[in-house]
Amino acid sequence: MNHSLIDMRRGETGTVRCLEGHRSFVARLAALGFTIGAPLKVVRRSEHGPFLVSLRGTRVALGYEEAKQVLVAQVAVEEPQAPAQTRSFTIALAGQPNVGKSTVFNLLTGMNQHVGNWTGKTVEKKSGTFSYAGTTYTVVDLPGTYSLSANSEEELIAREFVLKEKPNLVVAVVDAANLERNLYLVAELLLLPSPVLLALNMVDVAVKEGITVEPKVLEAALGIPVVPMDAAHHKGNKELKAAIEAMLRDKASYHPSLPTILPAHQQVLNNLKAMIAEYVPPVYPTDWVTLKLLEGDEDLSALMQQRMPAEKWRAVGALLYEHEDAVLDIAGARYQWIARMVRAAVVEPPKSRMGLTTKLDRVLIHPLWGSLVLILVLGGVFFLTFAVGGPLQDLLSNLIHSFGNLVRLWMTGAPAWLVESLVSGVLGGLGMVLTFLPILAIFYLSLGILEDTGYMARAAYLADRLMHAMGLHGKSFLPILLGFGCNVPGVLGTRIIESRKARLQTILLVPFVPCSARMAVLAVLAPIFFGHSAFWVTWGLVGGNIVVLVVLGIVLHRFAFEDEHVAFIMELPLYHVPNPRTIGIYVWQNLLGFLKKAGTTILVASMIVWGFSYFPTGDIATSYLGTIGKWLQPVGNLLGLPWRVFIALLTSFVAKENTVATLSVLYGNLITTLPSVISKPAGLGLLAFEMLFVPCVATIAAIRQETGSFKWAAFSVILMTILAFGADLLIYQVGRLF
Amino acid sequence: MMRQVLLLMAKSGYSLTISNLASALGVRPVVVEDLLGKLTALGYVQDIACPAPAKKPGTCAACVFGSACCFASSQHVWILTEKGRRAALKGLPLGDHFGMRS
Repeated sequence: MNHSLIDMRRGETGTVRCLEGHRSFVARLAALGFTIGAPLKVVRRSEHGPFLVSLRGTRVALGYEEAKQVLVAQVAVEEPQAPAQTRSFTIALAGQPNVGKSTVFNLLTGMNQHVGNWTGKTVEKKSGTFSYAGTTYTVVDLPGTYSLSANSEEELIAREFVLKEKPNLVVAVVDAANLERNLYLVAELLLLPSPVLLALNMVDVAVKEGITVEPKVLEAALGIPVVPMDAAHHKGNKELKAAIEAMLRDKASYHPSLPTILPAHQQVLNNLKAMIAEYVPPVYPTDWVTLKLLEGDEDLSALMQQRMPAEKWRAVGALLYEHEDAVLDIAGARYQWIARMVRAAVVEPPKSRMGLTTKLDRVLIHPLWGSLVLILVLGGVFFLTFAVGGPLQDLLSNLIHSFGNLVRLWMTGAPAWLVESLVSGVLGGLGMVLTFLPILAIFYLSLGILEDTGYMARAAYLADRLMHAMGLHGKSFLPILLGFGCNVPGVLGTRIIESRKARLQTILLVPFVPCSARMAVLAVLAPIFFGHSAFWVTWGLVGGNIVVLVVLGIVLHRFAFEDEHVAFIMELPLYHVPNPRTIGIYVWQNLLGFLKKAGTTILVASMIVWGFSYFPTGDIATSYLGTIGKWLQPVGNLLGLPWRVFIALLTSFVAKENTVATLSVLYGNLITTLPSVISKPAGLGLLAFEMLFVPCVATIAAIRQETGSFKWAAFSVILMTILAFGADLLIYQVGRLF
Repeated sequence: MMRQVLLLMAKSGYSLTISNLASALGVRPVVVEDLLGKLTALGYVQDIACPAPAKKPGTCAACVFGSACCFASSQHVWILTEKGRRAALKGLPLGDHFGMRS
């Protein structure tokens, strides 16, 4: 029968069928809990006066005209109830960690607390009591858990308590500022037999963060009572106790809105339930066990395996295996349910620093504007490196040469080979490399600042679009980016790629990423040949390297390593002011790494080069190196490079910085000598060779190790040598025409 | 919604940010973070970012990537696993297929 609310008598119950009237009136009633299907009971009424209605655990007063517009389906006249037998109730307090659950517990129980351990567990158990309206309540504080999936001891304790001890009520404490995160646990609690009441705690924090949660709307959406609280400031205690009392007194009005499984999985659920029903322990609800098995709950699987005959369990196992991914739809439906609740109850979106981040990201990760900004930012880094680092590097270089002359004076009378080994070998090679320090310091400082502000993550995101063109996605992206620091970890980082094709392609491409050592060599040599134009030359060469990387990637992808592409998801941090200490540590760690390398590999290589250039005659022209150099001169002629420069290029095979060290050992002061022996086209070719040639022997060793084959390491060396030689030859031969 | 995340990852031509995904799903970014956490625990996606606590001095020195890594220490990057890709492709087309009863 359909009536209006005014047709109902005191004590009668019914459900809301329809709301009539203006939209704003309907919305206001819905916010009060008058949603279609909501059960209600007339608590008090007068002939033409107000109506007091019990609905969803609370009482709502309506005027006569308002009550007329609520159409109801009448259910029955409630029989007078016998006085409650139980005057003592058990309440479980559940919630995720850091939602203020302990504060709510303290607020409810005051000093009446008992602290112990859960039986047989090391997890702390707190319980306490309070009295309200003549009834005593025992409150058990359950361990903080994110869900009830038995992923931890705490989760197991919480769900076993609710299932086995069957508390009269579960109070789910949630953080109003993090409602989405907290409601997942509520979605799981609603599936258990005990009724649930929501304590919406930390509403003050939510307000401070600009989040407005409407408790009445949330109550209507969830179908369970919601009590807003600020437990930390002792607010909401009385209301919570009253809501607990009302809910336990009027259990009939508990009709929660539940997330449910997809229709597609319903049949599977029914089949599974039929298979296990007779073996489910009486303490567990069969529906819940069935759902949990479908979710892959290991604890319940073990329990059911113990209780079921082997052949029947095998059939269950086969069904579960076939529907292994049902968990996606079950948990996914819970998130969908959460989204609906939040959309209904959270009135305003949060306004925080995310606002600034979102605004900046509109430009900074935009395919076009973001790329332009990235080019400008990288240009700025190069500019700083040259404008500030260049003069400092010149200053250090002059100091080291002056110091070398002093050493010659101090060591007058000592054997010539000893003096020369110290001045030309150690100071000339290692000392010259140490002049990289200002350049590297500025380079790492710039990268550190960019990373610490959160910009580097955006640069990486933009780079992915470029990699898309190369057929490289997802896991290939990280090793390639790591290669900008050093190619060795870039190659090692390909271990995260499962597909052999994608892994090989990435391994072959990583050495073409301009690493920091190459950038430093470029920063030293480019100004020597090109003076004030060095910035543009460097920019062009780095861009050229990236073009080669992309083109090679496309070619390899199309003709050799075609594979499936999968995108990835990145977390973009909020922009923030960089921390000087963090950046200082970052710069220091990188410089320390460089100094260690300079003191070992580069020092040894410098001494070997010096030894070969000094012995047996003490004259470089007739030395061992001179002899080798003359054999190589025909090749050097093609590139416009004297044999000494060609030797320097070959020593860069050990470590890229050796180019500068060797040139310094063989030529002395590079700033004055190099421009006189190498023309600008040959100099540009030399720099292009540097950028495309094998980065270092360590990278090749890493390629050999990661591919498990000398063949691929050799292929990489040959490929890079051909490309480097080809680019140098082309640049020199074309350049000399102008 | 979880399968929707997998499907978006599998079908997207370009990589996504958490904000992109949150907009596509109509939820706040914290929900996407939770979803990714659950999908990671279930083995459908893999978090390939540096597991070290961000910016902790000394941690990076002990890492195989050494001090050269300046990109991966402060953020998470999630990628579909083979299991995730299979599940995504097995799923229904994007749309309202997450039936709910209220």
